[in-house]
Amino acid sequence: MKKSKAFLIIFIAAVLIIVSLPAALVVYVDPYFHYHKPLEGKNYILRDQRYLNDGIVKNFDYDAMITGSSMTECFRPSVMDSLWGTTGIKVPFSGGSFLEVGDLTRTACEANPGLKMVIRGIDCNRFFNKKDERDYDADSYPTYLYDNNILNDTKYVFSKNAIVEAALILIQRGEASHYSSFDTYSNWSGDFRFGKDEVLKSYSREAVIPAESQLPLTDEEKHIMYENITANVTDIADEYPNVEFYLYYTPYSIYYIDYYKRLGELDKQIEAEKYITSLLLEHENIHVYSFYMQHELIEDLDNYKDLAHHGQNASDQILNWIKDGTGELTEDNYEAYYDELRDYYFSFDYDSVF
Amino acid sequence: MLFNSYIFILIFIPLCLLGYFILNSFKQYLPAQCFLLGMSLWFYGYFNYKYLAIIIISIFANYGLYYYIGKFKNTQKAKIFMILGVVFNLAILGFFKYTDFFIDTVNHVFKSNIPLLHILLPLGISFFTFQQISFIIDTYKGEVDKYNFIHYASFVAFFPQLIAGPIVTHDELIGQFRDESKKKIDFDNLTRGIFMFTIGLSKKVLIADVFGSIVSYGYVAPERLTTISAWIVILSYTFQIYFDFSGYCDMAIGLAKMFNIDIPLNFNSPYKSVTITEFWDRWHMTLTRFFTRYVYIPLGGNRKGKVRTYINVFIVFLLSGFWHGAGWTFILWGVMHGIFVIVTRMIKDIIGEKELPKAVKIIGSAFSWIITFIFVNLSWVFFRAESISNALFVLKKAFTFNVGSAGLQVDPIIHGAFKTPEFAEFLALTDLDAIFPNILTWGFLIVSFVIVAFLPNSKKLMDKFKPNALTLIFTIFLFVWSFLSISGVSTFLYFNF
Repeated sequence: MKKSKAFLIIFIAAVLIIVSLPAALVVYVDPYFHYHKPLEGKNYILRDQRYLNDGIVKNFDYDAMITGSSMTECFRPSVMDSLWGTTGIKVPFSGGSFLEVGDLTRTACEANPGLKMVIRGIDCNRFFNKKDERDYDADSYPTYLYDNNILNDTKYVFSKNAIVEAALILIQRGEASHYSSFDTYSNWSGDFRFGKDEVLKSYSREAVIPAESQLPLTDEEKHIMYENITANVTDIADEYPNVEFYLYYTPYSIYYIDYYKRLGELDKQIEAEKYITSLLLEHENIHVYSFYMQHELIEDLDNYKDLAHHGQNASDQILNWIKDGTGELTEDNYEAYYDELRDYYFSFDYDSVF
Repeated sequence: MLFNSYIFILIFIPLCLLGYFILNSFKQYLPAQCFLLGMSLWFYGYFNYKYLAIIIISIFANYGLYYYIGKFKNTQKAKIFMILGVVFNLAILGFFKYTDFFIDTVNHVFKSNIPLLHILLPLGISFFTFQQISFIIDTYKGEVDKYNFIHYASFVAFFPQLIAGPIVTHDELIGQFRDESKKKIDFDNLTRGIFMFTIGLSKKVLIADVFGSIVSYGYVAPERLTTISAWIVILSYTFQIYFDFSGYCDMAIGLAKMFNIDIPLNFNSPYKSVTITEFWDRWHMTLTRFFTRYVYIPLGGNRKGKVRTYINVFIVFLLSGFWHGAGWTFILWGVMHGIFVIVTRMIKDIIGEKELPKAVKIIGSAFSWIITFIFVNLSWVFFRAESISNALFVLKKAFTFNVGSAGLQVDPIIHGAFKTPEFAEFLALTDLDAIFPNILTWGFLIVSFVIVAFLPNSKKLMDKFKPNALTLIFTIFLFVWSFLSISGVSTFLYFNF
C-alpha cells in the first residue's frame, strides 16, 4: 500500500511536469500560429494547410490574400505585391470547398481590418456543391484550432506533431532548416512534370462515351448555386464592403472541357458559370474574371500537370491578367462573352489537340 | 466521451475518483453510487445528449420488467414479462441499428424506393441491450437477487464497460457495488488500474490508430494497391481491430480496477489460437459467453446430436455476424466463421482424441495455427470492407500475385503513414531509413506480430504488477508517450482539387 501510494504520487507529479514542458514549448513557438505570429528570426514549416491557414489569417501582418483550392497553390504573393504594392499572403485549401474557403475568407476579414484585397479562385467543378459541403468529416478536422475555446487547445498543445514541429522550429532543423515563404507554401510547381503526356495520365478519353445531347441547367441546380454562392461568397463581400474581392474561375485545360462536352455537361457548365457571374456582378466590391478565352493558357498543355492543375507560370500570368483587366467580366460584356465562349467550345475541333 | 480524450483523462477521471471515494469515506454509500451513476450518464451523454433518453428509458423499462417478473415468479405471467423484456430490448436494438439495413434490403428485393431514415446509432447500444437481456432472462430463471434501482442502473451504465464492453453480467457487477469493503480507496488497485489503463491507451493510440490510417487508405481506393500493399493493408486491419478493441477493454479493466471493481477479461491473446474454436474462446470472450448461454444452450447446445450441434453453432455465428453490424459484410463474416468452426469440429470429431507423437503434435499445431491465422485475416477483410465487392476487390489485389517490380512495391503513402512524427525525426537523425528502407512499415508489422503472438496479455501483466522503480518509469514513459499521441495531425489523404 505504501509503495503504491508513492508510485501514485510520483506518477502524477512526473506526468504533470513532463507533459507541461512540451505544451509550454508549443505555446511559445506556436507552429500553427494559433496564439501569435511567428517568432522573429525563425523559419516555420508551412505545410499542413488545415492546421495553419486559420492562424495565418488571424495573426499575420498582411493587407492582401490569395485563397482557393489547390488551383491556387502555385500562386506567388510576391508577384501580387509587386503588381499592387501590397503585403500579401497565400492560404490555399487543397480540395477546399466554397464553404471552407469562404469561412477562411470571412475569418480573415473579421480578424484583419487592414485587409484590402482578396484574390479567390472559384472552382468550376464545385458549382453544384451544397452550401455546407465539406470534403472532410468533422472528426478529422482540427476544429479546435478554429475557435477561441482555450479548453480544447489541449488537442494542440499536447499533440506530438505540434511538439515535434515546435522543437524543429526552435532548433531550426529538418524542414525548418530552410526558409519557407508564402511563394513556396504548398507550391508544387517544381515537383511535377507538365505537358500533354502528363495530362493524358489523368484522362482516358475513350472511357468517356460521348453523350448524345447536352444536359440543361435545372432550376434546382440554380437554387443550389444561389445558396452556395450567397452564403460562401457574396454575403462576405456585403459584410465587408471595404475589401475588394477579385474572383476568377479556375481555368482548367482544354481536355477538361473536352471531358465536360463528352459527358454532355458543357452547356450546363457554361450556363452555370454565367448564372454565377450574374449573381456576383450585383456586388460593387466583387470583380469577376474568366480566362477560358485566353487560348494560350487553356489550350497549351505545357501549362498543366493534369486535367485541371496549372503551375506557377500560369498562376503568375493570371495575376497579371487580373491587374490589367484581361478576362474581366462586367454587366455590359458578360452575356456576349458567354455567347462567344459557347460558340467557340462547341465548334472547337477537340480531336486536333489529342 | 472517449477514454482516449483529454477531457476524460484530465477532468473526468480525477473528478470521478475523488467524488466517489470522498463520499464513500463518509460512509455515504448510496450518494456515492448515485454520483458514479450520474458521472456515467455524463460520460455517455457527452457523445450526444439525445442518447441519454434512450439509455434512461431502457434502464427504467427493464427495471420495471424485472420487478414484475419477480412479483409473478413461477407463473405464466412471469414468462410473458420475460418475453416482453427480450422483445423490447431487441426492438430498441433493431430500430436503432437495423432499420436502414432492413429498408435498404427491401428496396433491393422489391425494387422499391423507400427513403432511408439515417437513424443515428447510439453508442454502446449493442452492449447495454445484451446486458439487460441477460439480466431479464436470469431474473426469469430465478437467478437474480433483489437489487435496488441505483445498483441496477449503475450496472447498465457503469462507464468503463458502457460503450465497448465487456458484456458484464449483473452478478459480476452488482455484488461488487454492494460490497462495502470495496468502498475504500485502495492504492494498490489504483496503481494497477493506472498501469492497465496505460497499456490499453498505448495499444489504442500508439498502434491501432497508426494502422487505422493505412487501413482506411487501403479500403477507400483498393485499385491503388499492389499485391504486397494489399497484404499490408489486410494485416494492418488484423492488428488494428485487435489493438483497438483489446486496448479499449484493457482501459475498461484498468478504470474499473481504480474503483476496486473487477470486470471480466474480454481478450485472452486471441491470435495465439491454434484452432478457430479456440479463437472464439479467446476473442471477445464475454460475447461468446452471452451467445453460448442465451442462444446456443437454449437451442440444445451439443445435446441433440451432431447435426443439431452444427446447426446451433451456425445460428450462433450468423447472429454474431449480424450483431456486429447491420450489413451483408458482417453477416458473411459470421457465416464464414460459423462454417469454419463447424469444419473444425467435424475434423475433431473424426480424428478424436488420439495420442500422437510429440513432434507430430507440434508440427500439427503450428500448421493449424497458420491456417487459423490466415483464415482470421481473410475474414477480417469482409468485416472491414465497405461492401462485399469492396472486400473481394481487396482480396483480388492480394491474390493477384504480381511479383514483378511493380507488384513488390509498397505505395509510398503507406510507408509514409507509419512515419509518426517521433519516428520520422528519429529516422532523420539516425539515417536508419537509408540502411533499411521502409524500416517503420516492417517494424510496426513485426513488433505487432511479436506482441500478439508471444507476449503475455495485459491482464497477466496487471496481476503480476508490483509498484517499483522499474514499473514506475515504464508506466510514466508509456503514459506520457501515449498522452501526447492522442491527437495527431490527420493526414488528409484523399486529395481532390
